[in-house]
This record gives sequence, structure tokens and C-alpha cells, in this order.
Amino acid sequence: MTEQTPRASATPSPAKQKRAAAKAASRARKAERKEKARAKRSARAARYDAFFEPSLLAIAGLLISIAFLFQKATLLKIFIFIFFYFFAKSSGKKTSIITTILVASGIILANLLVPVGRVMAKWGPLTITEDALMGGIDKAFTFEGLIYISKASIRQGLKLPGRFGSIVASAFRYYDQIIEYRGRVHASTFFSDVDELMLKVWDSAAEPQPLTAASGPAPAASAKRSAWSYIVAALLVCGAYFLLVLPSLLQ
Amino acid sequence: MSEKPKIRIKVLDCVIIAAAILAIAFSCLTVYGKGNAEPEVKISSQGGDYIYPLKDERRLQIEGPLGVTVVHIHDGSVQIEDSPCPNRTCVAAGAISRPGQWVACMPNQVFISIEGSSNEKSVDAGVY
Amino acid sequence: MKSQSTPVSIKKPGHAALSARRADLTALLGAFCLVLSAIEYMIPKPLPFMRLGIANLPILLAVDLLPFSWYMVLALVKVVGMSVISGSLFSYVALFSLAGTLVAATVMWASKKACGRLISNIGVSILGAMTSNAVQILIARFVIFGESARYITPVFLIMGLVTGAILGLFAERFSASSKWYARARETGFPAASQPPENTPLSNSGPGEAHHD
Repeated sequence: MTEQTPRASATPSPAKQKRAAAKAASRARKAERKEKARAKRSARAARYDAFFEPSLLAIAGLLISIAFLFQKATLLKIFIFIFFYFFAKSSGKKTSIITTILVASGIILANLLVPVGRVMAKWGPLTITEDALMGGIDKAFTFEGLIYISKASIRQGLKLPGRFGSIVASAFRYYDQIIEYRGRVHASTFFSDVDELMLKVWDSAAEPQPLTAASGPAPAASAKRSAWSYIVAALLVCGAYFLLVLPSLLQ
Repeated sequence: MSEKPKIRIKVLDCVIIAAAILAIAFSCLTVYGKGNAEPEVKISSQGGDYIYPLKDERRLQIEGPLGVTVVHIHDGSVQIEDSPCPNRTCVAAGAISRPGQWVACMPNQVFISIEGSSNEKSVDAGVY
Repeated sequence: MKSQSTPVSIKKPGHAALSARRADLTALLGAFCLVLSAIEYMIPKPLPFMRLGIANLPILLAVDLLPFSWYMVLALVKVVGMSVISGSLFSYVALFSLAGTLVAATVMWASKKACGRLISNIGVSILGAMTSNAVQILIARFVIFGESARYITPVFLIMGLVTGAILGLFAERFSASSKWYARARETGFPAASQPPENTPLSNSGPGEAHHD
């Protein structure tokens, strides 16, 4: 005669239910915020890519990267980094200030481990020296700056030249197909599932897609870009090179 | 299709794994071991303290009350090349190259020594 | 489209057709690399520099699927593809990726071809992963970290050993049992002198000239 139902299987107390509901609600809100952010970024990226042609951006980015690499003044490097951080952000690329700070700090810290130069301070076992610090800062911002210049200049629709370019384009097409694979991959039958995936993707691509034609251009690729985009790009490139010679001019 | 093919480990696989483990152990010892501190050149002056690795070539200008003392680090040794002091005994003192050694220009308040590593407890400098 | 019926070729596929099929296989493998790198990106990592090297798996598989020139093209496709997707083509990140992948690819090819039956995918993969990590640390030492890069060397070497072993195990298992792999082999090296060793192959690839 089991009279008492054990506590555990009874309906959860109202307090617990409220907490669970609150948690679910906050999770839903977080997911919603992420979605909104992603939508905003896609919109920005679409506008950016409609304004600038991908190959223009790639060439400009390459030139700017070179000027950036040769830049001697660390202060100017930091300025360029900040500029492109926000430039890449407004172009719809995902930027994470936390990651950037972490990576930069890591680089600076690693450089501080080998003391060089005038002693500035002692933090526990670590001696902070001027040259090591400046070197670390320079390297850190060079590293990060290049990343953001890249993010602003390498865009989705970029078509690489030549046969190699068409192979890369095919690879991206296959990539899209693999991502969209409808079947599921289960852990227990992992190998045969993956095998099936590969076979299906390969066979489904067997019919269309001639390799040589760089077909399937990005939707906005054929659209004519405004002349302003070229002017802006040219200005940015000139700006980067001007900053390159600025330190020697000022001396 | 439920037969699982046997994975056969071959001879060289074991050789490679063994070699890899050795390499890892070796790198652990060299990198994390104590005996590997790089010697550093420490310079104290009126203008502040400086640290430089002994192995890189450098020519430094250290400011003192009398003027600039030129310190040259090269080929794993340090020496005072020039100094504004009257006797210039420091210049004549020659080069030092081992931890514990020191050379100084007293009038210009420049003191140079070589130490094991600043990021660990340093052994008391011995004077020879 | 794939060389279905070229009226010229009777038994052997024409050279251009073979080239086109190899290019296609390279593209597919490259896509696989990109998918794996996307998966690796999602795995949370304590340090952003830790790379699991999962994306090298298709390259490892390709040692027996493609001739050397296409094999290296595959490695380049992987690096360039990843750099374009992540938008980091002009940065040091891409430099690390390029150096690591090229070194790994070369080492894996050389070891597999030189050692033949004495080595399995496991050993090959370990060699590739460890040399890739070693090269990357070397570059890091000059470009961002300076002398203190050596402190991280043991960690990276251990990671190379572990990830290399796991990847190698996977590759062994997959290449032994995969039908796709067998067909890909036929595509890359049609009517090879000896049949691939352990294939549950029943039918050959599309458009294959098949001797009956």
C-alpha cells in the first residue's frame, strides 16, 4: 500500500518552476539578441559588399597591409589598428574586443618575459623593461592590425584568378553543399554516415558545375560599383602610405 | 557493413611515437629546466637601471653626471669603450663575460655586471 | 561535366579529362578541409593559438588519392580557403596556417611514400602534426613572441603528438572502410596497376573506363 508518493516525482514547487521559466526566458532573450546582432551584421556586410567590389578591396587591403608592415612608428600603428577595427566592424565583420585584448596582452606578456632595456617596474618575479615593452606593444598591434585590415578587405565574393581560383570556387560550392547536408551523422554509425555524406555530395555535384567557368558569381558581383568606392579605396591606400613617410617628414 | 576493419599499427608508428616522446621530454627539460637562464648584462646608473641580454650586439650610451659612458656588448662580453671620467680606469679594465663579474665607472656612477637571470633568484655576485 | 562519353578515348580517359576529375576531387577534399576547420572553430579552446589540426585530415587522406602536384594544390586550397572565410588572408594568422600546412603536407607525403608498408596513417599524421606545430612556433618566435616562444614548445609538441595520433587513427579507419575513398582512389589514379588493397568496392566511379 504505497500511500506517499516520493517527493521527487511530485510536480516541482511553484518556486522552482518560476526559476526554470526565468532561466528559459533569459536564454531565449540571449538567443534573440544574438540573432539580432547577426542580422545587423549581415545587413552592414551586404551594404559594404554592394558598395565595394571584392577585388578592389583585396588589392587595396594588400597595399595597405604592406604599408602597415613597414610602418615604424608604433603610435601610428596603434592608430591604424583602431581605425581598421572600427572599419571592419562597420563592414559587418564580427569583432571581439575581449579576444583582441587577450591576444594583445598575451603577446606583450610573452615579450616582457625576456627583459631588455631600461627597467621600469618590477611586478613580482617579472621585470618590466622599456624596450621589451615597446617591442611587445609593437608586435601585438602589428598582429592585430593586420587581422583587421584583412577582415575589411577579404570579402565573400572574392574570386581568385586563374585555374587555382576556379578550384577554390568549386571548393566553396562543395562546402555549401556539405553544410546543407540533410542526412544526419550519428556517433554510432559515424564512419558509414560520413561515407554516405561524401558519396552523396560528390554524386550530386557530378552533373552540373563545369570546372573551368567561374560560374555562380556572387549576386552583387556583376553590378557596377559607384566610382566613389574606388576613390575611397584609393584615399585609404594613400593615407596608409602617407602615414608611412610621416615620421621621417616630421624629423 | 558492420564489420570493423582492424587497424594495424606498423613498425615505424611505434618508432615515431617513441621518438616523439623523447623529443617532448627533451624539450621539457631544456625549456623548463633551471640550468638554462641566459646571462644578462645589468647596468645601474644615475638615469636608471638597464638590463640587456649578453648575446646580442649592442652599443649603449649611458648617461651620468659627468657625461655619456659608452658600453659595448659583443661576442658575449661587455666592456666600457669610452667614458668622461678623468682616469679612464674603467676603459682600461677591459671586458667581462661571465656571471658575477663586474666593471664600473665610479666618477660617472655607472655600474655594470653580468648576472644569470633576473627572473629568478640570483646568486650573490662574487668579486674576484 | 565529368568525362562521361568522350568519343575519342576508348580505354584510357584523356589527359584533360583526368586532370579535370582530379581538380574536382581536389575541390571536394578542399571543401572537406573547410568544413572541418569550421567545426574546429566552434570547439571552445582555452588559448586562441591552440590549433587542433583537424582540417588536415583530408590532406592526410589525399596522399594516396592524388598525384603530388594536385596534392600540394589541395594544401594551398585549404590555406587560402580558410583565410578567405575567416577574412585573415593578409595577416600573420594566414602565415602560420600556410607554413604549418605546407610543412605538414610535405612531411606527410614524404613519410608515406618513403616508408610504404612500414608506416600507417597514424605515424604519418603524428609526424605531420608535430612538424607543423614546430614550424609555427619557430615563426612565432621571430614574428610575435621573441625568445619566450620556446616556453610553449613542449605544450605544442604534446598537442601535435596527441592530435596527430587521433587523426591518424581516424584516417586509418576511414580509408579502410569508406566506399567513397575507394572510388576517389579510382578517380585520381584510374585503372591503377594494382587494385587498392582493402576496398569493399563493388562498382567503379562514374564515367570510368572499365575493363570487363
